[in-house]
Amino acid sequence: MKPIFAIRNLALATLAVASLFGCKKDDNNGSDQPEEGQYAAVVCVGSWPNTAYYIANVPSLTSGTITVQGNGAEMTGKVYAQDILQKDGFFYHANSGSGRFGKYHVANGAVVVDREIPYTWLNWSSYVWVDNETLVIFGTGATETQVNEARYSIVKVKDMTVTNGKLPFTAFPSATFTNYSIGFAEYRAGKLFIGYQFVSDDWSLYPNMPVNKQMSIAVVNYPAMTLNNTITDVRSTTPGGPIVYAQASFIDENNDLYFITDPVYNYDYTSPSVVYRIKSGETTLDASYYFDFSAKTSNGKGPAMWYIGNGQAIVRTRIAGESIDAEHSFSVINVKTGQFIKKLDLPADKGERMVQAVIVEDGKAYIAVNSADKDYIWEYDPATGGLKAGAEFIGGIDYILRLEKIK
Amino acid sequence: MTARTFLCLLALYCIPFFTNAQTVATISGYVKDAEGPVAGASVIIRETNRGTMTDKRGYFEIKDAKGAVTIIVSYAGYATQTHILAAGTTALSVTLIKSQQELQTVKVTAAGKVQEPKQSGFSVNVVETKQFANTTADINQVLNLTTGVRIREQGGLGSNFNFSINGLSGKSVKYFIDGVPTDILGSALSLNNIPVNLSERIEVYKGVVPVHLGSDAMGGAINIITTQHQRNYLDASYSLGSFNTHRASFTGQYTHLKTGIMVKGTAFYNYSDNNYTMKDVEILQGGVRKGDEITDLNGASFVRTDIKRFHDQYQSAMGQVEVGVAGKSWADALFVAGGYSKGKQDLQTGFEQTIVYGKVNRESEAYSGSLRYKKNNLFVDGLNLNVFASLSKDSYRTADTLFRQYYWDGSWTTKSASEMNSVKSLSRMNRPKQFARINLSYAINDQHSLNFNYTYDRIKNESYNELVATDDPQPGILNKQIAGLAYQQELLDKRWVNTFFGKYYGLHLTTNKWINNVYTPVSQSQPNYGYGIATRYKILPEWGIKASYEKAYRLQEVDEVFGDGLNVQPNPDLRPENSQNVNVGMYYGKTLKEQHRFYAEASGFYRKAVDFIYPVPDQRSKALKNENKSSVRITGLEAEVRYEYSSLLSLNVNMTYQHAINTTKFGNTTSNTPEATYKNKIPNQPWLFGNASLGLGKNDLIGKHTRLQFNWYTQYVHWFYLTWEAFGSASGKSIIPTQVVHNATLTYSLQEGKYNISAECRNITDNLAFDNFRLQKPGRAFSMKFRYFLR
Repeated sequence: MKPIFAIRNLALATLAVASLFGCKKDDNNGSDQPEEGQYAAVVCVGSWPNTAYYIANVPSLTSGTITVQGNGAEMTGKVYAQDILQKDGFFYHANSGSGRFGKYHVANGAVVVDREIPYTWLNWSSYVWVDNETLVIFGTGATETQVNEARYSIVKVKDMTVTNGKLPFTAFPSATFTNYSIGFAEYRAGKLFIGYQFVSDDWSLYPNMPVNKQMSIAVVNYPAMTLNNTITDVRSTTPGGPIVYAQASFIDENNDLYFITDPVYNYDYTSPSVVYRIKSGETTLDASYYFDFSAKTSNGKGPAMWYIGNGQAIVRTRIAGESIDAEHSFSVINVKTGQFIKKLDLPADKGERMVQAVIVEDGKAYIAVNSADKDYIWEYDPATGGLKAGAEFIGGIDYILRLEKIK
Repeated sequence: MTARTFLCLLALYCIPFFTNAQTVATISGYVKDAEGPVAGASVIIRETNRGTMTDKRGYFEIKDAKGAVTIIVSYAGYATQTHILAAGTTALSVTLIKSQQELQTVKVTAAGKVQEPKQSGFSVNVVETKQFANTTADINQVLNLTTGVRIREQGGLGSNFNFSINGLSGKSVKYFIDGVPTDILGSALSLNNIPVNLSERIEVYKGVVPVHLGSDAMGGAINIITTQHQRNYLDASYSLGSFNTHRASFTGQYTHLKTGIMVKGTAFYNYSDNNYTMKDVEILQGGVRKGDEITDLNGASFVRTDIKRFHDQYQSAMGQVEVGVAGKSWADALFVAGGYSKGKQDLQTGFEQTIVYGKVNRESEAYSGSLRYKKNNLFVDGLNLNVFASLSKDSYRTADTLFRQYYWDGSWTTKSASEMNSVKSLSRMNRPKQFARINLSYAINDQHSLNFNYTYDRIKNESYNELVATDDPQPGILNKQIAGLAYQQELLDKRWVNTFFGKYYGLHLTTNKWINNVYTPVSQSQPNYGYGIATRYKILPEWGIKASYEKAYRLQEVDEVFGDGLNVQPNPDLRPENSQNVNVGMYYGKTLKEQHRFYAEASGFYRKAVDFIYPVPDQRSKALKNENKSSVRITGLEAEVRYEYSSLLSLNVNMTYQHAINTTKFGNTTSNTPEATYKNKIPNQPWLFGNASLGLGKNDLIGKHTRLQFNWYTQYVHWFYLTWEAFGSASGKSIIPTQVVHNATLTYSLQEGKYNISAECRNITDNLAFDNFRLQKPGRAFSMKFRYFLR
């Protein structure tokens, strides 16, 4: 099975009927507030075209089992997506196919639609929470003359009101590059940092897509949404893939911003995956900092990165190659010093290409691993370096897509 | 190629060249009825299947009658007569007697043409369409009433549908008209727009398909048999109904008696606004509006209401003329035909109800030319040749050129991509096709016969976006050659019939691709071999049991293997879908005192299908890639009971149960743990459904030579889960609810069926019906149909 990211052109696959449809009769059976447990996992069961998504309750990270056998909230038919953003138990998803943006929660084992609004401004790939009430999403949209633009929407999630605008990104360097791939996004002290890459839309050239050997980061003043400056660097490309699936950046306790690049995501097979830093208060790359992650992992790549405290981060590491549907492992790095610590001794992750796989609780990292045999949430203690198996996903779940901390 | 040659040679070697010295005579005479000569009556020698028709004087003449012969004289509206003539007899005069049977609109289904395939070893539904001729039904609606068949439609007239036979559907089901694939006549022609009047009967072969339908029909095949009368006739009808629906159909045949030249014409036209009411759908309230455009979504919110569909207009038309001769010594039939079809369709929704389109439409057009030749007793008695060849070109275009998001009330707002969420496009697809079919059958003797079938099918696929290109730089060429050889034996005084067959599927795919910046032709060839058996044993004359098996294939298509250079990525590792299909069944048919007719049939079926090909979407490349994704095992039961009393009453009840199990053990190929859904029931598929129908009719109730006929049809589909039954909390699971839909028709026929007028109501109780999750089908609809039938 391949990823079920986009559900486009699927009139043919009529069996895979899904609907982002809020039925009021169904909706009133639950409360207005999420009432499930502390953690949740989004899982996929079944082979194409009978894939189904569920939000499974995770009673404990450290022990017991996780199953959707007779359990879990069915997403198919309501919000059939892997790119759902969770905050405080509410899930958010923008669907460009049906032109709507929705807010959902789980109650009594069912996905409840809190609010869906008509929304057509952009096709999202990135987001950042500016505060607990404000979600800023980023993506692309084409004008009537089919010129692609980088766009944003500021969403007040309490009542789902939206303000739209165009991002002040640099113009396309040549006619070869006609679109933006928007990657990581962070908010720090009145400024948004948004990574992006110029890409080609000429799929007749696939898989040898043109590569613009330069990445860009727009530093945008918030809430004015004016350009402060643009950072560029030619040593790597693609500062984060579609992070609505898994994050590629963070801001640590010193307010330093770190992000990792994934050149292969946009068909750059030569540049390395690199961790960069933008120090607190700065709007340029930390010139003294350059951590070539690929060099430490036999040319592996880093599609996702999570901060786990104590200056350490976990990088979901994809083995070298041109495919992004490859095996993954988990690496621990000392992100502060730019040093590779170790590859965690976990079973190879045979799961999805983009997984929200890591959450942090009480200073420990919990890592969901889709292995060939048993699927566990593993506990990694950065203080001791200890690693142990915790809760087990049972019953043959096909893919673990997201591990979420609800409260 | 070698296997084909082998089969060809085998067929030829099996022809023993011998003749018998027999008395040769010319038989002539007159056919008349109570009022005088009957012109156009058919006179056939049963032994040789050779025959002629009477002229204006009722006169006929058949040459080369050898020895004792059986002469069959028939004419519509009259009882068929059989006369056995001793060797040397040269004169025969026949007086035909009008048949009461012919007045009936309800056909005695367990007889004649229907019985033939029914009582073969194959698992087949045969529907005599005469009983529906005065209704507005199309072929799909008729077949949906039969066992084992479930058609899931997305909307009203002309909408997309998925045809399932015993649980296998999609591309594994193939469609034929008189043994020739329907796609020759263009994509405007489909089972949901062919009026029922154009056919005489329809055969649905389930899982095991006879070789004469040469195709990779893994799940089964539908064969529409058109009217094959030797006589002149005219059948013209027009209906109008709810949602501004108009349907007209015409079929007729004229024979010039002097020259024997026959002209046969077929045409239909369908139109509908399909503006039926959608119940409880979302529309937008608020926002800043300028006409239909919502210029600012701020303050706009979804509210629910009932509202009519606004962009679902559908039109299709088809015409075909055939000219030729029949009953000549050098040709039992030689016809050339030209056909044209055209369709235009608005698309109202995507694959879910929340995706509303307001301007997307599709147009199609097709031309075809064909030649058919039939010669019975070629060289030797019992060797029959049937040849068909055609050239056709089908093209269609989907227009998706606006960056708009539509809502159910017809309002729209600008969107950052096209309506179908892509780039602006006029997607053109051209499909020139060459098709040829040769069928040779040879009756070795009364007990043993052979049938050899060969089809050649070449399709070029050109697809491109007319807004940016004028042609397809990577057209794909699909070359399919399918040969089949069947051997049939009829043993124990024809009580036991066995058919053994083998099929060769030759597939050759070609396209051009850019490889290292060089435009390079690439190709792929693959032979596959299938085989099967069908057997029937009559325990009693009215009671038979049957069983059949086939190892069947559904071959890959060009786009599936090479991609289309646009939206579909290549996958050269694709394998054909294949399946082991088994049917067992029995039937019982009894007529008591010529008034009570009873027929019952029950079958069990088993399908073990692997390597289903599905297009799987990929977010990064925004394209689809076809992969061998999953496997399924289906077991099921179907049963049907019919009862008829004279021409007054008919009752029919059937039920189908199918249990489809997911046999995909490792969906994620790298996993060692069988996936959760392994051996679970396949979701989102009807598994229990049935039909009941009642017909009541009386002749001469209101005037002489009239008939009043009332028919009632009820369809039932049991509810089913959208996703896997075992997973997720019961409280949050989506279902496709039980559907019960009733239709009724009242027909009044005058002058022995020459003029017919019908009133029809579909979905009488106005139930919310959907086959696919929340894709609503039409509610209550009325129609009137006028039909003129001259023979």
